[in-house]
Amino acid sequence: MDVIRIPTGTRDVLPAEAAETRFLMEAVRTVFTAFGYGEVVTPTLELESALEVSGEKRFRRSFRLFDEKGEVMMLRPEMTTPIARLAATKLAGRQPPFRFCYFANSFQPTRPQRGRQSEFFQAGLELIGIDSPAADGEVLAVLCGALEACGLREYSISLGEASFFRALLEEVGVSDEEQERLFMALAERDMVEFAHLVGALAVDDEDRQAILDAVALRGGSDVLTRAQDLVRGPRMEKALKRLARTYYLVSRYGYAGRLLFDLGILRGFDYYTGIVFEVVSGDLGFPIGGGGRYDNLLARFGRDEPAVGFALGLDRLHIAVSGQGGVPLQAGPGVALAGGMDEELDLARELRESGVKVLSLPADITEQLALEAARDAGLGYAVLPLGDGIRLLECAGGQARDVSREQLAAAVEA
Amino acid sequence: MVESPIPSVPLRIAVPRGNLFAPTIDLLEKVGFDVAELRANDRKLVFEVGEGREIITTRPSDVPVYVEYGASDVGIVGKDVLLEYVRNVYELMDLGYGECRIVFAVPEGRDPESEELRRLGVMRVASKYPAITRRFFEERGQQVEVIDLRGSIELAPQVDLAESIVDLTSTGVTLGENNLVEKAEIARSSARLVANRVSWKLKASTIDQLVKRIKEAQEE
Repeated sequence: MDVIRIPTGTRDVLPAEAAETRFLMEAVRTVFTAFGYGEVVTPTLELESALEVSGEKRFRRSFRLFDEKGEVMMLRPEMTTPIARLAATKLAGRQPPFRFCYFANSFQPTRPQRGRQSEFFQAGLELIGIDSPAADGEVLAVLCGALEACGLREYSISLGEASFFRALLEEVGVSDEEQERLFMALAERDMVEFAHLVGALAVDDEDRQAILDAVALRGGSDVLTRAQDLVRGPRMEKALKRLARTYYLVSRYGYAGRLLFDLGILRGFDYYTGIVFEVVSGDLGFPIGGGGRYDNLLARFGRDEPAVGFALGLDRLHIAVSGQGGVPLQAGPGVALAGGMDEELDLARELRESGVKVLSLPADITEQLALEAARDAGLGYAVLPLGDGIRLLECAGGQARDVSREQLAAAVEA
Repeated sequence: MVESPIPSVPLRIAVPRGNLFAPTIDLLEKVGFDVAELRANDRKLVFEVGEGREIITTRPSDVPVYVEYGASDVGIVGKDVLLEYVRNVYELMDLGYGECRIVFAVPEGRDPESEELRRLGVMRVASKYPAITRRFFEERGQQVEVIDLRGSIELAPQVDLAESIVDLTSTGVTLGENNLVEKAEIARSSARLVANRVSWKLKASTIDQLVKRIKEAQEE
């Protein structure tokens, strides 16, 4: 028989990992809910014609298939555009702001790596209808809160302003075509090509240096002061003021120490217009997630509303948390019970009713195998009924003791 | 005692074995690293150079892999490798040495492109840069068969394995000795300093310092 395969860039997840990822998702959800973000579910398949409204070039590489009428459908490459579509169309009669969150898989063809798959699971949110540092601050605070609820201790948010750099290029008179080329070099992180292109611009030396300095400007809050020297014109002034205000608000939430500034930051998506950010952790060579402000996307769908949001890669978050002491799963009491699905069915039910997890084993299992099964399942005890009494084997130390049936529930909960 | 060239934040630098090794070691010495052991020991892979800083030596094409995954914060690698194995790393500076060109070359006196076209065939191109070669001909709208070799590419046209080659050349001497003439320059290459995208943010001042020291060392 041929080897039975799964598509490149997809993977199967087994219970131990799934339980941890689920725990992280619930931890994130608790924080999202506390800030009033309501979960939305959108179709896994969208019409190509709908998603292409976004004008996002990256979608050209997405997975496509046909429906029965021959119309082209796309496996959603991310969640921001579907939610923009939803807010602009489904909610046409309702007044913003809207606070939406999602926990969903998306699809982008990729060369698979650890933490990078063609099918990936994300937790994210979008705050639609408020254009202010207050909205940016809230979103960043929810992000930090969610990461900390997951038990991630070491992380930073690398924060920039897309409009700051764009305004700089426009103020010094860089043409659209030249801008496009500069952005392309930046998106490819090719600073050699970037410096080369900047060198060829018809601008004076001071402006040239300002462009080079802007993309290299990164570090702590001192960046906000250092960036003053680059300001040319009111738009840059405004962008920087907003960033400072956002920083102040995030510090009021208690997360100032998490922010790193990076004014040259660019994420792959074209639609960002204001703050842009990425979550980085020293243990990982790639970001755990990111987002930003995208004030023009909804207008493309016919409703001019500002918006800001982010997405966290749950696989990446899992890798990061695992590298920092592990997922703080609270297992609760549990036993593997010999005969739990026939002879000792009543005992199993009583235990479950008192809140003990019960994994049923065959009635005639040996002590050794019962102990192994309990350990495999991450349970505290193996329980073997012996006439009127109970033999209790503790997984941690392997000690055995005999208790009465009445004592059992209390013994395993202790 | 060599004076500390950059702030003492742990930093790992990936250095390629091969052609770029000697000039890279010279550069790192100028920058202020103690490279005596690197010169002396060609079997060791990890070198402590003090204050938590480390130099690792790898196969040239592996440098961007170590850097992309964050196993090394920065690395030194030829642009040819970056073009061939597109990796998600910051390309910070052109180090100026290891200069060469990637060219498309054919046997002297022949025009395999039109010969193959006339006979409705597909030209075979031998190269150790299959991705660069494919991209080059795709952009020209030309269909070719890329033959992926590891070394001595010039041999392929002589034994009719391929009608043409895409290869590195610095002086053109090897091409000439094998009766090959350059038809087009595909790219220029030289050694580049690359950085991991997270290190670039989290170790910003250390990496900026290193870049600054390298610039100063080059001007000396």
